[in-house]
Amino acid sequence: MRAQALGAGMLAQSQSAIAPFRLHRPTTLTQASALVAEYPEATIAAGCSDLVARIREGERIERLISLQRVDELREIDESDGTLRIGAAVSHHDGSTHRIVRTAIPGFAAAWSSIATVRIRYTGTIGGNVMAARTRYEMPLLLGALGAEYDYDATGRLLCHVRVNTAGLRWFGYERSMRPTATLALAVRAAPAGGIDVRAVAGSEYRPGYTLTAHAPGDDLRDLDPSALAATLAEQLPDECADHTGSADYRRHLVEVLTGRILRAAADDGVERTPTP
Amino acid sequence: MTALESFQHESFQHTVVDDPDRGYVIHELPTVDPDRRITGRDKPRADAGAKVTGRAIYGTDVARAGMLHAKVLRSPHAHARIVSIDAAAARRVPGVKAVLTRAEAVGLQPYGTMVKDQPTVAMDTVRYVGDIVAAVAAVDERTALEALGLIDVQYEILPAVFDVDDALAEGAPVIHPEPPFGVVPGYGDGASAVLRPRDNVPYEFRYRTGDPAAWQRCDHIFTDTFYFSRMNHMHLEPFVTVAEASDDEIEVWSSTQSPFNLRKELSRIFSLPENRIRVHVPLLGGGFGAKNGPKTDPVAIRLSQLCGGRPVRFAMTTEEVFLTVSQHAAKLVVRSGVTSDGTFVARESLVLLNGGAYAEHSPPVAEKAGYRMPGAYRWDHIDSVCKVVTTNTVPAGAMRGFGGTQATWASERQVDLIAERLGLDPYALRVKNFKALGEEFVPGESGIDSDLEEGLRVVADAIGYHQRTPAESAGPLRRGMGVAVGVKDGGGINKPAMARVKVTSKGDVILNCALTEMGQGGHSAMCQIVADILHTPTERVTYARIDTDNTPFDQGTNASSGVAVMGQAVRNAAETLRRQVLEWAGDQFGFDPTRAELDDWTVRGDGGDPHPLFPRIMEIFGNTGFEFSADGFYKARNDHRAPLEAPCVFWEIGWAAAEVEVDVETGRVEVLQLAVSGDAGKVISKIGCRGQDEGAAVFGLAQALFEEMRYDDGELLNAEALLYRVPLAEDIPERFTSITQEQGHGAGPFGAKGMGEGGMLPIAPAIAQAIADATGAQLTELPMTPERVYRAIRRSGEPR
Amino acid sequence: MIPDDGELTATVQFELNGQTQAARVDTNETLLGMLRSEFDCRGVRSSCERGVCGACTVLIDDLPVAACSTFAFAVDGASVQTVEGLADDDGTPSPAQRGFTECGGFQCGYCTSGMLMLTTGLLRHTPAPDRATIREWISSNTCRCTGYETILESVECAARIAAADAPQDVPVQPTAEEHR
Repeated sequence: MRAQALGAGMLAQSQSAIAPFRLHRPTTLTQASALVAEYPEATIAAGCSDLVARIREGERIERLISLQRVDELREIDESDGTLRIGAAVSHHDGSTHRIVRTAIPGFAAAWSSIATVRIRYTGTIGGNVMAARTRYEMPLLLGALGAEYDYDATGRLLCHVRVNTAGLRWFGYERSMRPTATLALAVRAAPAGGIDVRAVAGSEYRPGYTLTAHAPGDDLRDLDPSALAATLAEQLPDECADHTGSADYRRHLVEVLTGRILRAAADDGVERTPTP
Repeated sequence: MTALESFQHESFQHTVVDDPDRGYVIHELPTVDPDRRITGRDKPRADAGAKVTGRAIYGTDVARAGMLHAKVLRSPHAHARIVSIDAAAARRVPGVKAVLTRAEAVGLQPYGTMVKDQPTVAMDTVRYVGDIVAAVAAVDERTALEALGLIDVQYEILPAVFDVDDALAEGAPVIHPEPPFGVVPGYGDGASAVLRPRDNVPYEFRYRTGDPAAWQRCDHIFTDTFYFSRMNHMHLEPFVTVAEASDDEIEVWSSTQSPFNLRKELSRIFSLPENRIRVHVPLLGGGFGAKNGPKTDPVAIRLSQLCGGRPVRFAMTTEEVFLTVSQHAAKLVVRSGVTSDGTFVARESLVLLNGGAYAEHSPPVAEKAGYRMPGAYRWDHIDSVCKVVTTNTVPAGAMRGFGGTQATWASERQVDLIAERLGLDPYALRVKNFKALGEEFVPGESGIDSDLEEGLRVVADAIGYHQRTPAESAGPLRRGMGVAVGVKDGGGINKPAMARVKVTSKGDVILNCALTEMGQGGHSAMCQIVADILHTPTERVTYARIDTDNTPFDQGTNASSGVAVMGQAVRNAAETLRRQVLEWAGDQFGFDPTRAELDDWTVRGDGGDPHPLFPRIMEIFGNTGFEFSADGFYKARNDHRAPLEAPCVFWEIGWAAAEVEVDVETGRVEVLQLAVSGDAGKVISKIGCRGQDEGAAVFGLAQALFEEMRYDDGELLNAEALLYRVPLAEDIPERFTSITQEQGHGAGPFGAKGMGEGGMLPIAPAIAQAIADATGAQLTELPMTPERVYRAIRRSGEPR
Repeated sequence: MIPDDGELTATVQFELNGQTQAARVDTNETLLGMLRSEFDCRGVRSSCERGVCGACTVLIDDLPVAACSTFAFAVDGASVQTVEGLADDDGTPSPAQRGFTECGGFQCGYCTSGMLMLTTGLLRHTPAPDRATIREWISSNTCRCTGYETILESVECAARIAAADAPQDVPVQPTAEEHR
């Protein structure tokens, strides 16, 4: 559905009514970037699965730069403690990739649990992030990991997602309460000593909230899950209330879920990230 | 046999055998031979081939030469007066062939079941977000949308109400200031209804029986309030119509469950005789009640009229389906009186159905929600009131369960609350108060045609209910079990059905009746009945395509009436045809037709030689031969003693047992086991029965735990496929069992009863009771979301 | 490099149900639209039109994809299979089709084409899937009628039929619990 321009009502945009658009199919990142620079109004997409949904919701596209043929955007590598994932890597390819599974097994497992089998083959990490839907889960996972996004010179074309794996001790994701609450949580050795916990709490209708805490020591077994969970949960603002849960309840859930993830981390108590 | 004879032939022959103390008659029910053979009962459905190859033709596949495409403009406001509409610019768009606004709808009559208040397009007022304001037919949907984008509508916003309490409050805006035309059907003993007893209540039903003095005998009286949520049907095939219409004639291909009902409504809307309207029905991609009554039809027809009779296709998107019809949300206040030993005595209830902006199918839903409040139990006194309340939300209409789901939620939940308060076992309390087999549902009604206790035992045993151990208290997880039963009158009220069976010279059989196929397997089951009676392979029977000019009359495929009502008409037609053939053959071959047998288009006199019919038919009739043809009819007898003017054809009963695991820290509920059972009476199609129970149960499961149309101050938040959560395979309990009982007391062919809705009724209450069993928390509101469960656990004190 | 102005149409050469096809399509044409209108694949059903329900699922290079959320231009060079391409040339139904027929894994049939394509894709990917894998794959698509249990059984049945048909030895899963 989309709003009618004159404010007279709502129109059901259907697929057969998609307006014609100009299509560009670059085969290299350089070409793609040049096109993005040339056509600042152009829409950029790889798998197009979210794009079609957005068109149905009223987005009008006049020019599409398809990244489907840009193989460079499907590369995955890791060097110097940085995992780099191309923006057009599909959920399936990324979550089953040897490098990802070795670098951050918890992240690979979480990534393989989102969406559905069918969507995992088509949907891409970049598309999931750029769609900016509160319902989509990659921003939560990547947010907890403190991922950084590499754009091209125009600043519009997402090229890679970078995750610092150095010092990463644990990554967990809890989605059993979805869509009321999801929680991604990463535990890292803090640069100045101690342990940093970074969590992102998501829900169907609200963007993820980033919650952080610091704990002394460097052994996961010494963590105090209950205290950390309480510290993280109290950071959730009142605006987190949505139609699936009140703020109080969601804070409570975050406390329960973070407590469980941290206990799992503490129980495990071993270095999970074999960073070279 | 004439229609009247077959009517008598099939009417109930119940014998009164008992008149127990409590004033209910117990009828002796027929019981069929359990070994009665049904042809092909375990075979694949007849429509398998078309459906697994993709060749099946649905409404969305219908295309006509020169077809135009329609789109509509929908109201952005929940309640507003239309000040002006300027569509001049839209008409000038190249490719636009017709524009429909209120100016082109003058003279069209409003529609709705019993209360006629819904216009084809909004006239003076829009009454909900999504109300149709204008429509365009153009060469393609893109052009139609472009034109709609140019229509200027000025609105004057009016105050709006979204729930039943606000709509009934002092000073609430009146959503239909002018009383619409409406009709109250004839009611029998104890039942009554009034149109528009007050503003924003288009219909109020009441059922009373027994002496109110019964309250004096009660040791305890409990009043509880329950809330029922609202789902969308979410049939995968949207509403779709292709119309070819002039001012004199209408022909439509429509995704409708009820072609003759649609014809009647169209006749009223367009002021045309019914014989100038022809409704074709392809296969339906799901219905679940939504496809009763006009949906895409009036707009498509009017647009076709406006562009000189060119075919116009109007197919809604999924988002528009959400804005067209839904289930009824409800507030149910139930007051029940019992004696200290748990004997039920008196029940009074007020059900407020959120009917949305237009009456749609609400009046009959209200009738059923009110009438079904006694549940499976014996009460000395019943006083049940159900009001439809108009609000500025999506119109609510028929949906699987049809008021019974709402009534069962409140009725069964209260049984559990009473059990807890009296310290009684919820299973035993049910059994203690169950109606006996054959006992009238209420005075004047037909007898309950299933052994209620037997059904409860079946589902309880399936999950090990009686062996359950007290909830474990270690860790956050608690397990519990619950059972429930739902009862609804099935087969429609006063519903006639007709069918025709034809056999060609070669013995190829054509069944012609208006049972629509929307997934339930009705076509396949009807063909099996014919094949069984004519003693021919099911493959030789085809189901003719449905159109109202040629198909015998039927009121609609609803109320789980297919097997029990249409099935009887089909059976009568087939039996009459068999008799005709045998009589003709007896004459031809010189044997006694009453002792002859028909076997795949060969006849055999009393133990004599087989005579193939084809050669003799060709010999006698010559040329292209002949076609034998016979009609069948069925209708339950009218009886003013019955509250709804005719005794219910059969009782559709659903039993369920559930085991849950509740995380008391989060409120998350996982259903570990779910057993559902219906009583088919006698199975016509095994996979059909199973499919109906399992499909219905999963609707109930979703309603219990998560599926709902979510409103925020009148704004519908999840009216599209991504945000509206329907169950997926991963949501189904790993131990999910359906058990089709064959108790053999049904009034349908071979003792059969209808299936399709019963399985939905008991699911949410069974899960609620399992949650209570696990945690002590009693939920009274659907869906039982994690937060609601968590809060209820906190309210109930420390979890056990 | 001076970028071009983009195309309004695209040529797609692809394999459809084993046959090489070529078409000139508008860029805004979806694969669903092209299959239904240009190639008469009417078994590919349109429902939610936003990639959620999966009624339009086809296989692209053996992977299940929602045809409604794929532009037609994107299948250039790919192999596309639809429900119309499941049966053998002589009309013999595929294992998936037989499984769904025998176990009744359909009611209204509107999701069936998509479910069959999911099943076909699954069996190519995992010839002898366990219940959990079947459940995970089938959870990609929506069926509003069956309650899924008969669909899961149909997929198990399809796997057994495929294994029995296969010339080489493929491990066979134990049969599903018999429905009572």
